[in-house]
Amino acid sequence: MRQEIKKSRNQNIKDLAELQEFARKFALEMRAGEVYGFSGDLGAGKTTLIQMIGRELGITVPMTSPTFVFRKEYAVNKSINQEIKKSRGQDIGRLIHIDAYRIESGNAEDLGELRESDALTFIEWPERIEKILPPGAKRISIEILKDESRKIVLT
Amino acid sequence: MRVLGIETSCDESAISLVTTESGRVRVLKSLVSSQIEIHKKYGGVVPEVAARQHVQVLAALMRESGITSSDVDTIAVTSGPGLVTALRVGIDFAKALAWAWKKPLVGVNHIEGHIYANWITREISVPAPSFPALCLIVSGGHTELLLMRGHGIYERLGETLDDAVGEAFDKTAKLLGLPYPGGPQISKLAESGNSARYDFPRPMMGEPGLDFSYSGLKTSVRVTVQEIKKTTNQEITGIMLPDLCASFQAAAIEPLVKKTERALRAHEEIECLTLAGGVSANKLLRGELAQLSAEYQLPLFMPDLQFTGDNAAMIAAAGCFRAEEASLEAWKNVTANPGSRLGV
Repeated sequence: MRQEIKKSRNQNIKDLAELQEFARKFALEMRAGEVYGFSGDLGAGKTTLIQMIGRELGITVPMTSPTFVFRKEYAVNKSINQEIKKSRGQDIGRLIHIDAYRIESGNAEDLGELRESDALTFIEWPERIEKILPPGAKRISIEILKDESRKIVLT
Repeated sequence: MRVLGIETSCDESAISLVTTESGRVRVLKSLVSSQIEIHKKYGGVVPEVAARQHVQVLAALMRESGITSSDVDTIAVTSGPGLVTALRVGIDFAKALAWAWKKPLVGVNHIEGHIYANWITREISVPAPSFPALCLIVSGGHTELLLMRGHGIYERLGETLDDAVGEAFDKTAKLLGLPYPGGPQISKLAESGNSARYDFPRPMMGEPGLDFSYSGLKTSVRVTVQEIKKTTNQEITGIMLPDLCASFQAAAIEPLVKKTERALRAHEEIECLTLAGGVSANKLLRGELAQLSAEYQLPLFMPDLQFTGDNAAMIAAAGCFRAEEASLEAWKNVTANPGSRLGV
């Protein structure tokens, strides 16, 4: 029990400005080769959070919903990548945005490689592809509280 | 010129034969086999199931069509955007035919196909869309305003920054507990609903420019549904559902119409208005655009209802205007491009 608590982190978010601040700090922790699963109900703000993190990583084109095509990839801006390299000692070449919303569990070659050494992978609706999630994938769940604020749980 | 079209980018396997006359396209044959019944079971498209079905269905459709080598001058196949495994099935099929029949082959963008559905007509005497044409593209994966300056020449004026409008319809339907595919269900229920009952936001209307956003609207519907459930202590039933659908539909359609008008004002050189994509079957949208085109005295082209969804006639139609790019060697190098985009 104690270990569970230590491993997971919670944060309450009351508006978009707070979500933006969370995205900024969270983006700093991220490293190439990592896989993040984003859970939350329809309308919880998964895509919004991913877009905010994407902007922190220098993605300037619109990051549109991958629901329909399952997977979209974005190159990380080179000059931003220099800064990323300075602060993290490592590059992030690409951002891979996957959405498993329309996929039946665990049968999904169309999603492509989920973990790539030069890329960060963000997966929406990871619970729908639990069986094929790479080991060590980090989980972010966005819970909608009664007053419409959000609780973010990282595990 | 007669063009064979092959389409397998998502749910539908389709084959069509069209011919060009006076700059317009006449459909000789169009066969579509939908997988919606299969995907209903899963609440969405399952790529591997889609690919397997396309393989089985394409050969059967081809036999059923009775089309032979001597009927065809050129072959056009959807090369993207879409699901990569599904696209590959159609492309491999088209390549095999092109090789065996020694016919030129050309890869066609699926969205361009939707636009060219507006060139299909039974009345060859009606003139084709003239350029520059403003194209409003509305589907499950796309919401875009394109300025089409000539055949194959596109300038992107605006697009969605997050969800596509068709996706907003489908996800809202899911929130309201409607079965897949939910978009058409919403439109149907909306007909008997009061669109002023719930005040949903019109996203991006206050922003300058021609971009769209639909993820916030979905969230707003969710919040409203929660509130209704809390205050009435019951599920969404009876008249609430048509009112919710009508209110949502009004909020989803209004930005499309207003941004289209804004584009018309910003580009006075526009000669006509064309609508394309699966959501172009939506009655409210068709009605509002008809009003807009009358107001601006511009011809409006909307695809015949049978060609609003995915089909191969539109791919063949686009192929008619891409025929000079078709080559006998293309069976070696046409490849699936799942993320391809139209315009710059």
